[in-house]
Amino acid sequence: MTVFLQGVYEGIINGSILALIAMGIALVWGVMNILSFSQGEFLMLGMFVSYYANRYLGLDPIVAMPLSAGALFLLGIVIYKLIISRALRGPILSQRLITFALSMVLVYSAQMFFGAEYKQLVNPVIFSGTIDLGFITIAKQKLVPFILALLVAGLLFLFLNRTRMGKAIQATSMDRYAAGLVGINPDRSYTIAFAMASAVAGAAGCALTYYYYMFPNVGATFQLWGFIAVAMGGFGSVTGAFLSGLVMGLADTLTGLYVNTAIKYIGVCVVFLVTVSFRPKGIFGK
Amino acid sequence: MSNYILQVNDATKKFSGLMANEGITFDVGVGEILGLVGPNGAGKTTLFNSLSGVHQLTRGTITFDGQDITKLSSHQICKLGIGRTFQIPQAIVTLSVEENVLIGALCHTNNMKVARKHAHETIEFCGLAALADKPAAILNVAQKKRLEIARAYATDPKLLLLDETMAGLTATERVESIQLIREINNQGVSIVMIEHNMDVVMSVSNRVLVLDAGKVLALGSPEEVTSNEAVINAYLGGGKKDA
Amino acid sequence: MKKLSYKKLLLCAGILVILIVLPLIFNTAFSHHIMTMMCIWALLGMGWNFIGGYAGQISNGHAIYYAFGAYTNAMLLQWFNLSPWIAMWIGCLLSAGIAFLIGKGLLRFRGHVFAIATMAVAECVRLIFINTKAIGGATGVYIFNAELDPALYMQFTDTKTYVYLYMAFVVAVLLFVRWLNTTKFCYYLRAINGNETAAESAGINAANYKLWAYMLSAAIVSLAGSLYMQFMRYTDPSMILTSNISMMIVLVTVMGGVGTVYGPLIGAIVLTYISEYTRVYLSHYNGLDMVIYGVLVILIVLFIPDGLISIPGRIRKHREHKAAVKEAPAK
Repeated sequence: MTVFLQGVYEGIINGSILALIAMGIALVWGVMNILSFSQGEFLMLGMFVSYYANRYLGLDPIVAMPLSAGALFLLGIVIYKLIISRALRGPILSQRLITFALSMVLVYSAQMFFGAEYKQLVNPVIFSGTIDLGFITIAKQKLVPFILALLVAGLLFLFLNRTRMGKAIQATSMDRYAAGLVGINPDRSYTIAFAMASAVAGAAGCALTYYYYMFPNVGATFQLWGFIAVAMGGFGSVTGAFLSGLVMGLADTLTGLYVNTAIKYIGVCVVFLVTVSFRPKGIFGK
Repeated sequence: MSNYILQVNDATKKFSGLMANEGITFDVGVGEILGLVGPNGAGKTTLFNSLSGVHQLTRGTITFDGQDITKLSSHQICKLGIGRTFQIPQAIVTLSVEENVLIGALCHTNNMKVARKHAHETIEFCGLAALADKPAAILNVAQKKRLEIARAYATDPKLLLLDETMAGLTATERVESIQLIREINNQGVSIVMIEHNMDVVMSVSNRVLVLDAGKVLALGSPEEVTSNEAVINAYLGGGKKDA
Repeated sequence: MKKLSYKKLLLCAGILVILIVLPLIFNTAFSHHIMTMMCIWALLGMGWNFIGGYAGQISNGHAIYYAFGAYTNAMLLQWFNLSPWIAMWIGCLLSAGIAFLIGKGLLRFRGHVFAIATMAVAECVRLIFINTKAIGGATGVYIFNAELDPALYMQFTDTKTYVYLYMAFVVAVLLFVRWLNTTKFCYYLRAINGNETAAESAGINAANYKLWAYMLSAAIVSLAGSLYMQFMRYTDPSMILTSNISMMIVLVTVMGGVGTVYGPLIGAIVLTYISEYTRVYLSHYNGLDMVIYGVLVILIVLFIPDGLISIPGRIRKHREHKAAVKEAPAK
């Protein structure tokens, strides 16, 4: 029983990272209908920011988080302006390939500058140690992703639904032309959405450094799972992506306790395919 | 039985809560032109979609040329002999005009030569010869609608469902369109046409079917229908008369 | 039949001469390696083009069939000593069969969901391969055997032989694609891709045609896999079943010109050239080659969205436009 509960806990943590990536993918997909292959790489970059902040500045990842989010936000703006905005004028297929090629550039650039070896946090961190609740052990560090995911989900929800900019973004995603007609600058909305998605991934990367190795290709697995979570949760639905990510993390960890990797993955895929068969737009899809 | 090309019985279509069509019963004689009119939202296109297999009826039956087609899909119904055009013309914009019609012509043959010849003849018949090699994307609305008719006609239909062919056309274009429809009808093709323009309906239809709020309001000759009080109320009391 | 004009005959003869002479001029093993890989990627692109280009369903998981083609060759050789000349066709049939099952399940999805679904399935297959010891698991398969007859078992010692043989395959498939492009099948696919509702209303059973296109694409990609196996003589899931490979299959076709007859071939030639040269000359910078590759891809896809094959057309249009502008003031 304790194993199970521990599994649930670990699953939620695992799912939180997935949820964070998925929310970013959902945001970009929902707003500009691009399947962004680069979210995993933004996660990876966030991890590296946190690693180097820790190694050279002695910063705890949670302190580095705003730094990472900010840096990735700016990077997101640059990438959007230089590449994505141009890509949007072309066919959808090209857009996907461009984000894929971009992810390759990011991964191998990271390999060039940071090296391919696995790295881990070097300096001591604030949150260490565990809380032993008897039936489960909570590693304090692992709480961070979960709290972060909740925070981000909440903030995104508030932002998209309660602020002017957020509503503008939603309007643009529903009808770009009409939004333009009422004075919303679609390009601005897209830039902010894309930059926010990368910032979220960056922050997630920071949270991940507490307990995960970092290496240039770390984003790849999360990427695909993020995609699946978003497709299940619903096209464009950030809430759907959040919940889906958590569920998938849970499913992944729990089945991992009893079955081996391949079957576990196939199980998740089957669940995914079945869900999408019955609800082609995802559970919360618009 | 053999006098009717289409028999619709108690056609009902429900979209989770919305009753788009309810209890519609009518028939179309061989070689007849049936006008289908009604205010916006009356359920005309929904009926067409059920007839052409885009979706299935919730209740009721459709019999075409003696065969029950209620449960069949679009392509099966097309192969049996019903062609249709869409309210918003669905030209295949990645192909040329000629290729669009070719797609229709390939419905009943695998032989490219035969299909091309048939497409060529159809294009001539429909007056599109001058545009044959142009990409469908550059056509204007009237031309696209004509292309739709040509593509549908190339599938050798016995029944043609025309959805608002006249909408958006100038007076001259309307006259040309009516002429084409008459010529197609003269070839023995039965026609059901959704129209808002009452002049067109009056001049072309043998009979008129009036729908309102998903139900049949009237069915009869154009004169009978336009002097029907209920019809007049439906149109003047809040519905649209002319498109 | 076809009318063969003098011009066409001359062109064909010219191309034939170039193909024969090319491996002789560039006579190093490395050049032959590049040429062989170009052929394999051309086949991959031409195959994928049927489902992604003509039918418009973007599959991001075609590495599955690449792997099945390769592994079928390897396993049938290991288990039954079967010649790859036969095994490759069995691989094609097998891949088509698997494509039938996968296609039945996945082709109901569109756009992004379809792409994700194919990626998920491909990843599943990769994990299955890694965990199946009978076919080598993560260590992969190795088929080189010096005792086998080179011709019978397609393990040539002279790299030139591979080049000529694979070129022949490419030419054969290219002619097949050219022919298929004029048939009802391809027209129907293009109609479905252009406007599926209109296509259905014209009597096209879209679901069936897409399935056929998917199966055909799987078979051709499988063929490429078989040829790959015979050339490299070794493969493992991390080389052949990654999502990178699936994406590159898409890349090759799109960069060349998706939905065209010659596009994939051109894309294959250019992309293989870029990737092989950057790999050899830049890889000691620990990844720079892939960075350059990625950047080039971004540039090409951004600025030539219709693929490299559209360049002559664009130049012509540009010239026509310039000529028209020049005439205008005179009026």
